[in-house]
Amino acid sequence: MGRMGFIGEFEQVVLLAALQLKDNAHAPEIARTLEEDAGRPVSRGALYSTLNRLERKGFLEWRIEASSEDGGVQPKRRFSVTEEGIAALTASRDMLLALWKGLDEVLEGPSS
Amino acid sequence: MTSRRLARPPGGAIALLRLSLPSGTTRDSILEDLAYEHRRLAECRGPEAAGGWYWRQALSVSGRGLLDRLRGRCWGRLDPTRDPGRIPPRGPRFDVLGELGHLERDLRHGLRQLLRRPGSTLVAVVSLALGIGANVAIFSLVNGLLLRPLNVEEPDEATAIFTARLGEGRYGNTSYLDYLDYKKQNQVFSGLAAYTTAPMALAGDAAPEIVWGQVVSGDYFQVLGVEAALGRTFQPDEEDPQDTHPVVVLGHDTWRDAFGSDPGILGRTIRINDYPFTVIGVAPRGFTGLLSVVEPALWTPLSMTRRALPYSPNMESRFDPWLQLVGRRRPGVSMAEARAGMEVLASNMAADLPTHRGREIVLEGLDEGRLGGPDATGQAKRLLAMLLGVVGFVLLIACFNVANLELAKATERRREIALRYSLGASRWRIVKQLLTESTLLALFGGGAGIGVGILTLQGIGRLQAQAEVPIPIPATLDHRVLAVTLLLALATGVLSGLAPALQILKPRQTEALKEQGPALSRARGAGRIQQFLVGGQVALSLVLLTGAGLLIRSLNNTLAIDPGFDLRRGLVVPLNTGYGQYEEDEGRALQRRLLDRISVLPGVESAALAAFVPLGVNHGHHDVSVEGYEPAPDERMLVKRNMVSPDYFGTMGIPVVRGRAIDEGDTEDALPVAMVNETMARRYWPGRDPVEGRVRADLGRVYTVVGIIADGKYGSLTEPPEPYLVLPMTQAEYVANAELVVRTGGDPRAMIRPISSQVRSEVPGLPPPRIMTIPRYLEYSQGSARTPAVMVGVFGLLALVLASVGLYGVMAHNVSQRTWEFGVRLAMGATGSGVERMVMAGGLKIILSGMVVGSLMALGASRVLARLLYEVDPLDPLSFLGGAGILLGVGLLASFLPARRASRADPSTSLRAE
Repeated sequence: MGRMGFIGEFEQVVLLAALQLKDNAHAPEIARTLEEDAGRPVSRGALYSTLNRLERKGFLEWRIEASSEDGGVQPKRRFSVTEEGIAALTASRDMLLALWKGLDEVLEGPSS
Repeated sequence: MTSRRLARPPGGAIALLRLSLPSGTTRDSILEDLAYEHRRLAECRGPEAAGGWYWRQALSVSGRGLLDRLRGRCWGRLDPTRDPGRIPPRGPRFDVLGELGHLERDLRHGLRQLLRRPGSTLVAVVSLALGIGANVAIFSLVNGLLLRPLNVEEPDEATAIFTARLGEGRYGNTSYLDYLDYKKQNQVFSGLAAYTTAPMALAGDAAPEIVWGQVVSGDYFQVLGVEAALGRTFQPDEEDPQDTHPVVVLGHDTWRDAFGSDPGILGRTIRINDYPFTVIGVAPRGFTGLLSVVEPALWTPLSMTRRALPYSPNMESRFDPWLQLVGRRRPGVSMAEARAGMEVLASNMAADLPTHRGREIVLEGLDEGRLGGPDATGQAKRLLAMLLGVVGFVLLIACFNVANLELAKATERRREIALRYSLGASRWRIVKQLLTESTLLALFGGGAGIGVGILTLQGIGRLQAQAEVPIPIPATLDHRVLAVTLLLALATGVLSGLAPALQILKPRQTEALKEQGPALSRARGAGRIQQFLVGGQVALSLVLLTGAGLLIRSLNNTLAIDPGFDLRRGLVVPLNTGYGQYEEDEGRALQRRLLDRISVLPGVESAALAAFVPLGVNHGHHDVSVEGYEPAPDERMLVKRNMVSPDYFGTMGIPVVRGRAIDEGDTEDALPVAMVNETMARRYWPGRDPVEGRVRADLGRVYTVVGIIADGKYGSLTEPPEPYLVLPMTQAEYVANAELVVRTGGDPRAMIRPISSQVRSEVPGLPPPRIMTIPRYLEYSQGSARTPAVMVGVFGLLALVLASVGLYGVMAHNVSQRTWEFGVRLAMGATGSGVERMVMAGGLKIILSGMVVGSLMALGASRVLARLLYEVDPLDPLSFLGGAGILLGVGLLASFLPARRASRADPSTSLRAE
């Protein structure tokens, strides 16, 4: 049950990180991607709250994997972006691109 | 590879996360994620930094988690069947409407269950009815005797006042002159009133009947703060002089019953003791004086003493104590201060009047005087406390029976209960349902118990000795008793439902569904509780039976006491000429005439008159002095004295041991003579012959002793020997309420009617006398021994029956549960008698363990009984062994029947049944 609508900025980056991580999209990896690759600090409360929200919106789903560190079997959630999630991301990107048109001189190029 | 010690996140932070996030996979995975990151951080930056990081994240996650939860967005996999916006309830909520709905369902279900097993329901209800009924009866007695309010104003400020005289009890009456002095000289009471109680002949419209009435001081009602419901009460000036104010205040019930609540009663003339009195008022409903055992029908002032009382107290003497006193303390005066004040008064009076030395004025609360005085009240309290304990035991035994029945039922219903449990009913729900069932049972038992209580009270009433005026059992079945009954029923319900309920709460219900394991192991759990309960019943029953045994032996000893007279076939005829207004001469002549007429009736062997018949209701003391005997400084020369007609000793069968008896020659004009008993002879003529000795007694006259009679019992059967003086009626003070004793040839009951009609024909205006046979008459003196023995005996038997039913029930149930086991044993070669012995041995074990505990309890209980026993050792072996023997015998019988059944089990049938 998804809702075709626009997603918030943090929601976008979480979805993008999950897509980037492919089969390795666990919450710690998503957080690391955001903190190290995107350079933005992430409170885990905000992260888990967003993951929950994205699941409710139908943009994200998860499966349980068992990890076996520390001598016991613990559950880990592996996230994957749904088709609705991809469609939402696409819509967001298209909207931004449409609004960015003609603003190349104003906006500086990507920093290296 | 060496195992690394992985860093652990801080426990407090973990606890915080656990508390704030709903349990489930999501929470577990979040914890795992954070733990993983914590480990990595600890490896890079050390455990302290990692710990700090963990705390920060835990706070952030908890905060967000709670916030989302409040917004209805719980973290967790979405459940399509649940509304995602709703916050799930945390733990059980208390929902009043829901609970009431449950209660209604439970009651209906419970009723169905009870009706489905009519046999066991009947046994349970009857057991409870008997147990609760016994409690209702005894509590009604307690209520009527000790708790019922006296309906006076501020009862805590009112005080009962007694005069203690040297040589007599502490709680004695007061003479009229002393009363006046107390009233005038005290500093502690705002009012001090006096009263006395006596039987009176009341005639309204109908024929005269004998009622209790009181003669009171003019301020009696004011001191008690009681206002008339109709008309007025007395005024202080109506107290004297004598015969000047023939007014009467009627009791409320008397106005209702004898005068039909006539609104025009005020100003009417009624006759009391055949003397006209005017009704000036009606007492308020609920006021019945200060005595629990007597409800006065009327009150009349002290000025009418001569007319209203059947005897004439000496109002000029300080040595005729006939008044009971009640005072109201001044505001702010405590009981201790009042006592001190009256102590000073007593010593002042002793200084002025040498005869009053050694006297004490004793103050007690009103409650202490409810039964006449603190001695009697204390005795009653002790007896009632013991009876409450006895019926409490009976109720416990009944409860245990019901508990065992409930346990047996629960064992049978285990499948149904397990099913409900597996369908989602919580343990507490099931327990509530079981408790509702047992409480329903108990409420039925309680309702029936009230009926049983009323019947029991009627039975107790029959134990009451007859008196001239009936003294009804003051048992009041009012709201207090009903409240206690309800409480008892509810407590019983919970108590008896606890056993199966506790079983349910044990977490092994799922096994019941599977029905695994042989019946042997199933029976064990519930069986142990049942055995414990039956053992408890045996113990309690033993205590009651032992107590009954002790009291019965005490009663036997009391009945065996020689009363000092030998009159088996005889009658006692109360002749109270005080009920009519006879002057002394008329009265004496009337008594003489009646004696002559009755003596010659066919069937009468002999008859005599006496002022007092021994062992009657009262028998006062009298001051004497003996020539040649110097009393010690502290010694009061008080003796019981009687006035009799010539044939008295022969009629009563009292042996004369020396000298002669009073005879026809001892007339009014002859030498005044007297007889003494052996104790008086020994005490006042030590080492000398009392015959020809001289005694100063009645009216200051000097009597010459002419004979000695054997010692007897005069006041009570268990009293120690006392001095006794007997004077001829013709030579002594006139007594209006005399008694006629008659020795009959045949059955005395056949003579009641002829004698009664003889009396009525002589004195038609008087109420008919209540003639008693000697055995009936003696019941009064035997009552203090008979009543406890009969009551404890009956309750003990009841307990025995209940316990036997309990034992039988448990054994029978046990046997039926173990049919499979017996079948196996028999199939494997055991004999029938072997199985029988095995079952009996099980029963014997329960009985014996109960008896051991019961014996120890009985040892303690017998000490409580010690004060009630007459010449019986509280550790009397016969009573103990007797009780134990009866219990053992009955118990073995109760075990025998199920044992027999077990031995006859057909192996093939039993095995198939499983």
